[in-house]
Amino acid sequence: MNRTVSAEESTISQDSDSPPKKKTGEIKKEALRPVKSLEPVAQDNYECSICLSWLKEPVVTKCGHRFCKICLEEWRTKKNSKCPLDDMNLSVDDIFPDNYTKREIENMRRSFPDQFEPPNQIFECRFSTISCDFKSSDPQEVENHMKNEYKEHIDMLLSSHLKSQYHTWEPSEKSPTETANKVTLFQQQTTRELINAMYERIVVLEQQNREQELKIAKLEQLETKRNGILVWKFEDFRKKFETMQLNPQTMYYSSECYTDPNGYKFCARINLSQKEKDCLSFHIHLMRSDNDYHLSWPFIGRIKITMINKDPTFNQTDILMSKPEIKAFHRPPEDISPRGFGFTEYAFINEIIKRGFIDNNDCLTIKIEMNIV
Amino acid sequence: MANMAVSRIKREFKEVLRSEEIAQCSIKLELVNDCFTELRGEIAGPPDTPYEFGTFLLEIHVPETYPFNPPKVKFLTKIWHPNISSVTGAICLDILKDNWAAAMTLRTVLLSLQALLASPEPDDPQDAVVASQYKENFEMFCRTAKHWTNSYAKGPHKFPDFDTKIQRLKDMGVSEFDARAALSRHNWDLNRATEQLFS
Repeated sequence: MNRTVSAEESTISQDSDSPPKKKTGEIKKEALRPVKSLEPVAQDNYECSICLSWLKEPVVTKCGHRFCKICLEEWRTKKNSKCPLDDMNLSVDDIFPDNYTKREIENMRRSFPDQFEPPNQIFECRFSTISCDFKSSDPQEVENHMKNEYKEHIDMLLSSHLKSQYHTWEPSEKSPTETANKVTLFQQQTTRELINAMYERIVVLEQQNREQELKIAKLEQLETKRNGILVWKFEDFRKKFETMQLNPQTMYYSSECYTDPNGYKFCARINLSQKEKDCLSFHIHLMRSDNDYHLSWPFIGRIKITMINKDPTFNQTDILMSKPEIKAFHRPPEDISPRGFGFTEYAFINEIIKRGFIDNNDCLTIKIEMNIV
Repeated sequence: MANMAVSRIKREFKEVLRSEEIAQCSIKLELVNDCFTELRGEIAGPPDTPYEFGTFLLEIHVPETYPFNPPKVKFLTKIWHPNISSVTGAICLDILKDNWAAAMTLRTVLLSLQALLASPEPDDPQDAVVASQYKENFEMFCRTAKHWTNSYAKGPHKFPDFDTKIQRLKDMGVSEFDARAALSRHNWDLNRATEQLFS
């Protein structure tokens, strides 16, 4: 049978979205999408093919189609579980919230509020500004209302006019609908921007504040370290003593100190004497610093070493003068000068303990004062 | 009427008004009542078919559950087609029944119906007599369909022999439609048509 089926192609199928033929198995329903979008224009990507409006709470199917959440739910409960666009079977697990699209639409809504219409368009009576509160979703009804109620409207107009005579100095009230919406939307937008800007500013300021606090703490620390007085708290005295006995090579260095803010840098060292195994050796070491280039070498000055006793009257004090011929006072060739200056046999351990130089916290305190002469 | 149905129809209405098919006078859609539930569709008979140059009116009823359920559509214009009842205008088309999808629109329905006119499905008939004529005597089907298009849808093809036979039956007191229907059902055999009408 030679039917002229091809004839339809000359007109109908010239349109790329020709309708599906009856029962041809795989119906490509996607081809049925409208070519032109409607006004206000929901962009094709962001249009729900069920309600033909902007996607609300968009979901995306595993076959890649987007719908409003409620539209798709309703379709699935009322009709069947197939995708309205390509007939793919959809279970609950095949449908995901599409928050990306949701955000995109939100952004567009913010940028182009005019392109969005309220979900249900309400038309107001044109006399709404003078207290006529007639509203309808059908423009024709509003037209009829305007035709039929002209007497009431004239009354309203008159009373409103009389009122306005006494209030002409008042700022005219804005139309409560469109402009108000736009204004609040604009205000919301600017408020949000302002909040964002202020939040960012706060973060920056907090960061700066923290950095400055750190800097101040560091400077305070430096300040105490740059007055020529080094107070060395030699903690865990007994434990360290045992360590040194086990390994006679062990040496303990104090933290560093400067004679003055731009002065010599030095530290102290404690270890066990080579000769007397129960005797402490105590030395001062000059250290290399950024100040070295402008200082005069060798170091000339007075060094006062005080071992603090629990009873201050028994403090042991030694005062030493620098000697220019000793290498220890020359410019340090390394970070810590290899030569030290002090006492090879400073004090016997048992004497230190017995005479009360170790406080209740097992700490030996030695104060070193360096003065340039 | 449900809110979504109304807002959809409003949008679709605009869509159809702007579509290319309107520009080509191929489909038309108009409102019958104010609440968007009753509409009137119109499609042009596709070229190179017996329906060419005919204009076919459709009654469209939009249910409250639209677009989750299909619109109810039937032909108001009498038509000779295997998938359309020659008496009631009821349509047998899958997308108006089980294969409806919420993404379809009135525009696609009208275009689908146009496509149905261009390619009937005699194996899934609405009108079994028309379908068997289509399958067994295609030329007779074409002439009959053209005659119906001329009589009801402003088609251009006149068939004087058919008109004579109808006139003979009308002379016997039969209405024009009954005469045409009976003759069409019996491949324009006057005797058998008379037999059917008067038995």
